Amino acid sequence: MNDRKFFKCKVWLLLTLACLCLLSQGCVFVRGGMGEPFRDEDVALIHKGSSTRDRVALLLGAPIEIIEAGGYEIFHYRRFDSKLGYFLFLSRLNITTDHVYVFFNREGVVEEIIYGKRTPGLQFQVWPFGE
Amino acid sequence: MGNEPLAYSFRFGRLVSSVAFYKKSFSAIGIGIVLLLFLCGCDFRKVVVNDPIHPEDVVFIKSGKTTVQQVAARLGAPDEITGTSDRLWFHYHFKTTKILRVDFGILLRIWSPVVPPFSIGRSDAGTDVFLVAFDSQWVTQDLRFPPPKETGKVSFWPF
Repeated sequence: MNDRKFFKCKVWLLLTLACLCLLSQGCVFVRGGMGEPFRDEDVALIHKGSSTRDRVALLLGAPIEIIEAGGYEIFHYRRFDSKLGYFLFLSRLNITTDHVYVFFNREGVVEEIIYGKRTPGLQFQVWPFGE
Repeated sequence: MGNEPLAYSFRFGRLVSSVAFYKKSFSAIGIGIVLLLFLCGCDFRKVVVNDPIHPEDVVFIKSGKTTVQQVAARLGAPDEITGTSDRLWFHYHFKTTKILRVDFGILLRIWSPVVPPFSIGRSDAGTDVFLVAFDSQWVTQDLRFPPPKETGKVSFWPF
């Protein structure tokens, strides 16, 4: 193999590698969400036995849905968060939700609040295998 | 010396043994490129909706003892609440979907401006719901865990 041929091979190799880079999807990290994050301070201002529907609506806004269950009227607030990691041909999309449920008794006063945040533990991950 | 690769000889140029070495190297690189090209057409994807809840994660819930706040502190707020007049059901949804897809059309992208998809793929989806029932005193009454699901190997072969 003479030097000229060797150089040609090198050029072809580089071109093929460039084509591969163009063909591959590359590396992508995307974050998507729906709804505003809940502020702990706002939820802390809702007091059982004293806060009313108006007060709750003032702090958290209008609920995404109102549920009737167990003799309660329940205001439901929801927020979605998602993180997508994509590297060449491997990808993983993690989606999780935060919810706030405010239970009102027949007098329209807060009787219970169920609040849990799962989105802070959400991670960007690429590896799709295993857990 | 045998087939040992020699870098260069100033007197005779590239030696025969080094040519063999380069031939081997190019073959290896060529095979690597073909494999990479094939992998570029592959798509290994996993979609996880909420962290999965395992039976060992809920052993702390005791019927008649554990309160709604204790459950919410450990598992978070439920995704859905349903109920009857005297009972509330908390629904915790979690789902994991695995997708494996191979697009053979990617090989055409090198030469053709029009690339029809030649994809085959398969996905394995599973939705689970963990249910907890509470009475009017906000104490756990009942638990319902989904039956264990078979998690088979994911393959791209759809037939």
